Amino acid sequence: MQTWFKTRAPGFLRARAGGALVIAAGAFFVLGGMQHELGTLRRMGPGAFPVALGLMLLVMGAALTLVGDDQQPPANGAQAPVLRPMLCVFGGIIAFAFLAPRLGFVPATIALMVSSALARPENTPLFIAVMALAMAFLGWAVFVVGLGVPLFAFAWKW
Amino acid sequence: MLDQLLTGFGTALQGQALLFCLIGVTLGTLVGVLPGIGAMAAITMSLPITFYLEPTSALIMLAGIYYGAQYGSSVASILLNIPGTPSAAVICLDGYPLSRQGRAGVALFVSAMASFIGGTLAILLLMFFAPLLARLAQNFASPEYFTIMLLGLIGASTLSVGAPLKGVAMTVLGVALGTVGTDTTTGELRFTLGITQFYDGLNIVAVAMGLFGVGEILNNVIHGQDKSGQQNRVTFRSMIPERREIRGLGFPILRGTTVGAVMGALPGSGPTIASFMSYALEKKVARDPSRFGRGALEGIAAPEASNNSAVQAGFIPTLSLGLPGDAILAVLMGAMMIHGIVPGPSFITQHGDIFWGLIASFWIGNVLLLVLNIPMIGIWVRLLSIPYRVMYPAMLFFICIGVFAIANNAFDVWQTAIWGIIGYGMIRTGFPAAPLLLGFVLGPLMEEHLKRSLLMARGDFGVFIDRPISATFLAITAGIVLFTLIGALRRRQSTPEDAA
Repeated sequence: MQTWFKTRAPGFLRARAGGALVIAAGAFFVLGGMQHELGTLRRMGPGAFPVALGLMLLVMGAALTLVGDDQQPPANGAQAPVLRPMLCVFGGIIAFAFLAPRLGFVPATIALMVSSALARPENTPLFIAVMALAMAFLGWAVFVVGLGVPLFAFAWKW
Repeated sequence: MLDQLLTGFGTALQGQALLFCLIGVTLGTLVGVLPGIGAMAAITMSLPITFYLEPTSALIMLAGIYYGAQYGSSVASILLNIPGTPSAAVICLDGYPLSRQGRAGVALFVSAMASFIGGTLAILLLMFFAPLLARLAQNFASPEYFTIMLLGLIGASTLSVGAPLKGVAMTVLGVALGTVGTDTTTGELRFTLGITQFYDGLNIVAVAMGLFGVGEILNNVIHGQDKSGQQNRVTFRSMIPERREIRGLGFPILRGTTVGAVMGALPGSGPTIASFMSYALEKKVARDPSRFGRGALEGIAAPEASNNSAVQAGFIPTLSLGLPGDAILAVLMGAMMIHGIVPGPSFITQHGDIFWGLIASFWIGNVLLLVLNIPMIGIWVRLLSIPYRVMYPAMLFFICIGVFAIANNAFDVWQTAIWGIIGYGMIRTGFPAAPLLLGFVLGPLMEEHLKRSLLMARGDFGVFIDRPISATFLAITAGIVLFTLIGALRRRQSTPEDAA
């Protein structure tokens, strides 16, 4: 039993994670849809369509979970570190979304470029700095000045 | 028709239209060549730019990116054994061996020629069938629209590469996500989680950019190996094949074009499945199937003709019925609607100038692409040595500013980041994103037409069978489901033997 948890369980769980998430999505649409009127077949209420779709998702999720996943995920770089690149890229986009309306286009772009470039350890600080500044300037020239995207280069609106 | 086409050429040859056609196909070739960035990302990134153009030029440019990417996509398959876009994955099988034999030039030449022939033949079909289908569709009522969308969605999810059940599940999830927002009949808010920005529904560009753009980038950054630093050089002289090699390629190209046209015209299935099917077909009809996988030119010519034919034929249902041929065309359709043009049966009659201008631009675009891909191939080949670690931060920037500029709204950028994580998870677990997006676009239309059909028939589902056209669509759908089920069962039975 203990060896099962160590060696087989990760694969067992991974093969069923997708199906479980489909079940969760199905439950969300069934439960959420029930809060609206279902109506009749002749006059479908706003809840009917989502509930029907949610039920379909529940059935398919159950099938996927029971059968398990015989397909392996793409094998290349299966052991690669996930957390750092994930946080760097995600954080970069969030930083752009947060900073662009508050501090302006240039700081937001620099934050995005620096954060996302840090996802790959081979990117050197000098390279990152040059790329971030170049993109901030070019992006400002093309999108803000050229295309009129309504953002200030710098702003102070907390 | 001929004078309409001539008028179309008049539109497409005007300075601005011609310029944006050139920009579109060049950009398309560029993103097609570079692995990890495809037509979907390029189209969504350039959407904000096209808001400032008049609709014809905007459409010409966006469409140019879409079919241009098919030309470029085989370059990386042949030289690096990495497909530039999913539809060129099958080109790796014979393209890379040819490259190892020192015959990359010939492979690139055949690929460009097959692309051109497949693409232009499909434009002819588009010219004849789109107006015909639009006229036929004037008789369509809600039941027909519902069943043809069902056909498209089932076709897209089961005929795709990978596990059919996962594809269907993602389609249904996409349709369900389409219900987020204000219900059109009652005005009730559904699944908005109390977030005001969701009252108009999820933003399609944010969903598309997250799943395809950010999701792909995450996957490449985390798991991709940098194949940079490889120097590749292809000279013009090395591209010329021997005459006996070309002679055998006529029928494979024609077969590929046919497969591509059928798969493209079926709403929902796009170039990827077309290229895989035509490769399988060539292998089946070949006198010596063992040549495939070792550098058979047919293995490049047929799938290349097929995926280019599929992208052009994909415009048939998109423009005449308002049903997108695949997920990228769904975004393109969204762009048309932003410009106030609704594709559908009345599009060709109401906006004949745009339709024929677009068709003429396809002819011009394909000729431009032939020039870009044969004499100027060296430039694209050299681009492949740009390392990915340089490109992806710039790509993320274009995604962020592009999504932001659609509604000048930072919330959409937040949404994109979340969809990016979801998209990454889907790639790793083998759930396809294209059916989800297609379902998301068609979902609201399906709900509308289902409600109307049932209202019309007083709650009787028989309405879908009683009407002949609708019944035909249902029968084809049932056929596809049956075919998939038999295939899945057979595979399951044969696995133990394979293992033994």
